[in-house]
Amino acid sequence: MATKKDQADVLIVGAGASGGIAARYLAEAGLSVVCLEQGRWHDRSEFRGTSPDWEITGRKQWFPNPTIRDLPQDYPLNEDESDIAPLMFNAVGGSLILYAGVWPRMLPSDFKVRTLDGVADDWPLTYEELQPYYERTEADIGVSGLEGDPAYPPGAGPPLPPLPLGPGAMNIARAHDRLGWHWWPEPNAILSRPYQGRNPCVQSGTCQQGCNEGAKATTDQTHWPIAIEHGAKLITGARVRRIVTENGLATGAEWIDENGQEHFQPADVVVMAANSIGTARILLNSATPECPDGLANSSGLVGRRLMMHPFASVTGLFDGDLESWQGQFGCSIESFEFYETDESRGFVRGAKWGLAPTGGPINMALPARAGESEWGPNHHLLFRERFGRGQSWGLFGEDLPNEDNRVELDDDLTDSSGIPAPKIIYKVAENSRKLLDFHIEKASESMIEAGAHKVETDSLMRYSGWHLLGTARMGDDPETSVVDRWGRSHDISNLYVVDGSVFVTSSGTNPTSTIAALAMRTAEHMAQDRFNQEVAV
Amino acid sequence: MSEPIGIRPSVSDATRRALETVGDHLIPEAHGMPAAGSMDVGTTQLDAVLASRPDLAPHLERAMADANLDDIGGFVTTLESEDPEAYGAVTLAIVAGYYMHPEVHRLIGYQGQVPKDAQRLSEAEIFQEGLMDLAQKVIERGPIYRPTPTTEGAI
Repeated sequence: MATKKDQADVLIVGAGASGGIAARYLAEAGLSVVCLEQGRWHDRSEFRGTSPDWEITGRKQWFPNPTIRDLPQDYPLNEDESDIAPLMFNAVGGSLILYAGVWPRMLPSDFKVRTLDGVADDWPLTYEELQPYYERTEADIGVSGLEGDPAYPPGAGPPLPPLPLGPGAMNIARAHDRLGWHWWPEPNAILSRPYQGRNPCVQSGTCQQGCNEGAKATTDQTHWPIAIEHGAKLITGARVRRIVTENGLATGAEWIDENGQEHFQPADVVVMAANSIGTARILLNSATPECPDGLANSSGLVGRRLMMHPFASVTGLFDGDLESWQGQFGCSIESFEFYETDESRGFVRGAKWGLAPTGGPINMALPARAGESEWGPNHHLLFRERFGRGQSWGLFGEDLPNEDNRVELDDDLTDSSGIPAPKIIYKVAENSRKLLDFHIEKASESMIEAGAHKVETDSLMRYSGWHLLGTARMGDDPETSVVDRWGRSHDISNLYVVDGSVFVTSSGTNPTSTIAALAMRTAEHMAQDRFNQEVAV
Repeated sequence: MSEPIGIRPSVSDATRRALETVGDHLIPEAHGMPAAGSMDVGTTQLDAVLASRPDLAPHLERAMADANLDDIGGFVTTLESEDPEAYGAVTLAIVAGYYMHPEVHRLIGYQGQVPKDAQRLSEAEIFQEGLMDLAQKVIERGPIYRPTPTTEGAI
């Protein structure tokens, strides 16, 4: 039985990127913070990057899809009606534990697609409004990159120099120079220099199996220690069943511990930070007779407009030895050459390209991206052709919002605590298909100009749903949005959302930097506005 | 993790032998490289794979239970179409066992994911020769971001 002394100023659901950032800034502002996280802390020694089995554990225990990974702290997903499988990780640090660390900002036009291109919706804020938060989060986590990218308006650049491009990326940069195409060193949330007590990158190429060095920014390192130092309480192994409301205001959350024991955490304000699937799931699971379609859902948009960035890859194979199993993974360079709308192409919006290494020997024999396996005597020839000799453009196409792409509650599937699990319904749109086909063609030209003797493509990678966005979009109109420009629910004035759910459109960029900037902005606004905050009595 | 690394599930001798035979078919001796069977993919390397991936064991047993090894090509084709999960387990166990073998590492020139000397990516590594000249040319081509109602200075 919770008592008054258990009452938190703020309850945060989820300890990943947005939850960690919100916790730090709220706790530093003097608010009492409790966070419920269904995963646990991970020590860096658990990561398999220094072990010979890193590639095979990366396909199971450390695979980013929870259905395949099937850990006790995961919840299952019904993905049968989804063209793309969602990816995530449940832990302190959240999906950052396994992300690539690529950290580009959105571009100015991304916030104005209705005005500029007549599609989707404008955001209720601008690039300029978010720019100071981009700059501050980049300093918080230690972004490596190069100032001056003409794809962005002027402003402060990353605090650290770029990570090495290596011979493969330098070769492609020269090719883009000949073509007159944009390229730039990729900003990565991976340290190129020692920074705030953390070790820099050692280029071992295992970022997506967990960084053994701690060079890749994850909030368990960068934000939670500071939040806890300022009094934040982080409860792991805590699975939230529903947000509880009374008289139209949130009063806290019901949660279940690892032993199946039920608890209630009371709070003045509730902040959802469980990613765009987890947040929608909990809000839908929190339906009451007064809110039969789920909490904060008078617009009917909770769970809808799910965006996941259809992803294609184009891999060039070169004659020279590039040691392309090493390096940041992470990206080396990016290109925004074909990012903006050109209606003559037959579609709107575009894609950002990020150049990555191609992986270790097992991944070259059984490619997870572009390329097929070859058996028999020619296996050795194909392996020799690929191993250490590839560079791969990853193409993130902007995913326009569609209300039919959605998160629902599955009728039958539950997690191990008996809580209804999400069902994902997602189809790749015709605009996205045309967009990816165009970009595959252009990225192939890039590889050929760089001297690739062979180009392998993957036109739609199923296990690529890293970027979970849009299921509780922000906006000024309560009839067409779930939260306002500060992430506050239009319906429940002491309920906030700080994760990627609030995205109005997806952009064509990796979204974590924008999630982080928005989380910082929302947390600071909450702290500044605390004395005006309505709470349940 | 849910399946502790270090536990070695039992796989029958028949499955081990079948895996070596199929391995020799998929990865035969050729072009200066050894066959999978000679690289212990049914013995010690399989043990190493299963220690890390115990979930593969039941799929391997199921795949090999009715394996007709008189027609290995036909067996592999049928397995791929009729039981893709078992096919995936068989190919992964063979490939992983093979490419985790020290002798294969030596032959392909792979020393594992070797960390660079800690701490210090040199200036020469970060600012490779020609990098800043190339970047300057990108800058000289001018801004490419699209102007928005609140963004000044773009083209």
